[in-house]
Amino acid sequence: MFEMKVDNHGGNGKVRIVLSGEIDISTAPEFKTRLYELIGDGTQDIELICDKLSYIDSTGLGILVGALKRVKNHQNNVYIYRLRDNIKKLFRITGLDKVFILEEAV
Amino acid sequence: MNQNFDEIIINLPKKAEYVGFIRLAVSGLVSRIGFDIDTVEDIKVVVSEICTRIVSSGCDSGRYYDVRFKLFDEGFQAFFKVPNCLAGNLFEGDSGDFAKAIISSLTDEFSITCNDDDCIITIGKNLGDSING
Repeated sequence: MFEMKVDNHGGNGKVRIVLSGEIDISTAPEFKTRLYELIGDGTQDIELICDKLSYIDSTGLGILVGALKRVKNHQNNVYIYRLRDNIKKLFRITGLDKVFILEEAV
Repeated sequence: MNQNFDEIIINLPKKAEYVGFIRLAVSGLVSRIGFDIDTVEDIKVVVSEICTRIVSSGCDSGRYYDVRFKLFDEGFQAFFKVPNCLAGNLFEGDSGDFAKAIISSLTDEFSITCNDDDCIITIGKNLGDSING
């Protein structure tokens, strides 16, 4: 199961997205379509809240890199919050912990 | 690993929706050997990555593929038989690079051997210090 909710109550001008469940090859197409729709031209920062995200595979990581490229074109960024340890491990292995801004507190 | 092992062969439809199933199945299989929970999670990730690469490859028109598991007292191996054309582009693109890094990092054994028709992707994990309890 995979869920993706937009939460912009913070009103900080960033697009805040709460992810939960599993992102794998079967849910990645939905994740990609909805994420890229929300990013649009990449003119806003993206915040991903991930404490309920239990799994992401290389397909999902590739989508995140694509999202980062889009927002970087407009000098914006993707902030990733509260990754679980098992997922943080994958970011370290792939070197993506140096590419994305990983934070604990929102 | 020694010659005493149980062998399980799973024949899977080459469809994305069954990758979650194999992730759960391998979790149950390797838990029996006594791996700790973190290592079970690593093995699930690795098997899922390989199945994902197989399913997402467009070079083979076959509808099914086999995953063969060998469960030893001191570890496990998994074998994925794929057509030769698939092995050549298994790890293309950003996602392929990430998959290869993840598989290499989380296994004790990772190899791809090919003949004229097929390639066998082999992964293995030794029990070592990763014992539950």
